[in-house]
Amino acid sequence: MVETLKTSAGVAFVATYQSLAAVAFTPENILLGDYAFVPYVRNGLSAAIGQNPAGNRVTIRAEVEVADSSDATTSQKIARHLTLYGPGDVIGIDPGQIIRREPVNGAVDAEQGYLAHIEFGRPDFPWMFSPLPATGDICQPWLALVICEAAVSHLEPSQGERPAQI
Amino acid sequence: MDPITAAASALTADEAWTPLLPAEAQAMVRLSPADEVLLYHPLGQIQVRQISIPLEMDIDRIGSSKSTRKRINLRAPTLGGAAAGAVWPLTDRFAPGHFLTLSDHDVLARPEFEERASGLGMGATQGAGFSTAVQAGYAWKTDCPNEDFDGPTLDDWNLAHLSAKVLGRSAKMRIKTANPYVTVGPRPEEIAVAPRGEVAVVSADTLAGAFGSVAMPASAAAAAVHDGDVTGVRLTTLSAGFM
Repeated sequence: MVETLKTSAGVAFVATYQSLAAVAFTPENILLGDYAFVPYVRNGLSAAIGQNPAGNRVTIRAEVEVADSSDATTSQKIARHLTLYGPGDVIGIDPGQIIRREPVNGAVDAEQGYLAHIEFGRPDFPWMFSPLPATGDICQPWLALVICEAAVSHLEPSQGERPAQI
Repeated sequence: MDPITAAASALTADEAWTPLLPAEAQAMVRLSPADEVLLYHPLGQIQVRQISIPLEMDIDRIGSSKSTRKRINLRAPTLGGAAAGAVWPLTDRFAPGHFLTLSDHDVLARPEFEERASGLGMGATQGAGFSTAVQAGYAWKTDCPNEDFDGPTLDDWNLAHLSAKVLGRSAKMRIKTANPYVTVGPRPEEIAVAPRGEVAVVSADTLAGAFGSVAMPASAAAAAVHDGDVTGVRLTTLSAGFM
């Protein structure tokens, strides 16, 4: 049998890239009082991270074989190393990504004892630029929420390529 | 001329590998200007293509050289050492007269360029990648301060469609509907009520409890019913928590 990309890829084969968008995220069935939680979500090339990086940027090895369609034993491998953007390359976040803050921005009467948190528009945002692979259910996020006392800290505005500093 | 060597050398070029980025990824974050290293966005996918040799098509020659192989294709794409979870074909326009031995009539009859496979795109997963989901039922209890409240009772459940089942189990009801002189049998089993927010999985044919009649969150029960459908076991869930 003559081999094609479709026969060799099997279930991984999709007709076009556009058809991937249809399965990118299936909304859960709305059933009040019952929820499913996932420990992390990753999309795109970051979902392929499998090994710890040497620095702040992770490198993924992409490989493909050029083969004789009628002779399965003859092929030549082509590999390429893809270096992904790391957390150090991000110097700003689109405010539109933040859909909720608790307490709200600028609140002066926030009650103590409640968990301060930020909700992002994309579910995969906290893990997007993390260069670390997921081990089991744990995937370290690339950003963290830092809470400090306003009286003893201040925010230096960003300069050039550097992000704002505390 | 070996088409595998020709295609492989074309695929090793920098231009052969192009990232594919969702439209919204550009505006999501501000990235520092890239240094000398070529960097890829973690949200993107990768595409690899060449226009030297048409793939998955019988060829006779490559330009003026005779081709040593009839047909070549791409296979086994991997990302990070694992087989790519999503693979899609890419096409480009090739001139058939450059790769096929055609008569003058065929050359005139065919279009100058034809759409043929030139490469592939690959992604790690077809959807979002994550580990096992945790299912949880979310139940709450209302406490009314300064009021004598006994907590949840059977009134909390929707008894409309279950009243017949509840009453039918009582000995008094059985005497009423059957021969009153027949000795009443042993007391039937107590009705077990599942914890709030949970349901029981039962056989769709006999309503016998599956999984040892253990109540579980509705989403876990739905998953169990789905697994049953796959293996050919018809299951359903009992709502309102009766087991």
